[in-house]
Amino acid sequence: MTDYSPQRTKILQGVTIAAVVLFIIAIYLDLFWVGPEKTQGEAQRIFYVHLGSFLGSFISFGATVWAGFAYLRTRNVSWDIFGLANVEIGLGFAAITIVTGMTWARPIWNTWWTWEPRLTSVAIMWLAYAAYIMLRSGIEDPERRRRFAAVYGIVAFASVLFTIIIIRVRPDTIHPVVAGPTQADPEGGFSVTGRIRDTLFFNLFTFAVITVVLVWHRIRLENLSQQVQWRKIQVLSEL
Amino acid sequence: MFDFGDNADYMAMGYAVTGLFLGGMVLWMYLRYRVLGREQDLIDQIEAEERDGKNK
Repeated sequence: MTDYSPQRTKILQGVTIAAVVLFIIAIYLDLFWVGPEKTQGEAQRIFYVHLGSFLGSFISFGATVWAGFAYLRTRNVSWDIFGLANVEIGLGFAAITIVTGMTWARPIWNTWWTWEPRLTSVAIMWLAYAAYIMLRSGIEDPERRRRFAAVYGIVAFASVLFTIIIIRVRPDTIHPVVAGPTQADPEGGFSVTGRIRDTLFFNLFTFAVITVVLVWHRIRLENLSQQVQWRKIQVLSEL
Repeated sequence: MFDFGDNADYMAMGYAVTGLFLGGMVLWMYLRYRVLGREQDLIDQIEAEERDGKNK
């Protein structure tokens, strides 16, 4: 299960190094290249990693939907592992989104947290995927667990779409909208132009690459874990 | 150049948290790899002992 071609391993190593380099460049752009925003000051710089990490969670949770459908169609265990890896990495990125949002909100909204529509929906999203991890570990039958995880991974994506859409349809949200229309009058918005736009796109690309790298490593880790489990069972049965 | 202007402490907190979470994810995977590597070595050792026992 864990016999990978050297070529694939080399690609993974290359992409991993690229992700580290991109991250260092992104941090340089965020902190030194782009200037502070007029009204928000330095706190606005959080926006680059905040949005980047949300993209990471979006990619991961989106890939979980793909994995879910693929598993239900093929019953191939690899798709289950792919889905699990994506949920775990997506949860990490969603946690970054939430906490960086809180550190931005404190100076701009004068509160760490408020139960407004976007913050509430992102909290629900995080809990929905945390429940995926907990619930799947509670099912002993592997086939049932994988089937459940596939269906849950597809259904849970509704919480992601809800999080994206809600600030565009609810008039009572105070969360800024970066792209697209909004019916609300958000607090803490700013125009994404010039260096801010360039830095944002670079960060989005960087976080996308980091997401792929982390998921890839997590898949390999899960494959190794399952191989060790299988070998343990074999050894114990022989004793 | 960065001059530690308004709200720099919150910005630093945001980036520190990002580094902490990303580092945490990497560290967790690294530690799991190490534990699994050790378990594999242990299984190899048990299998070798089993083989030796059968040969005798």
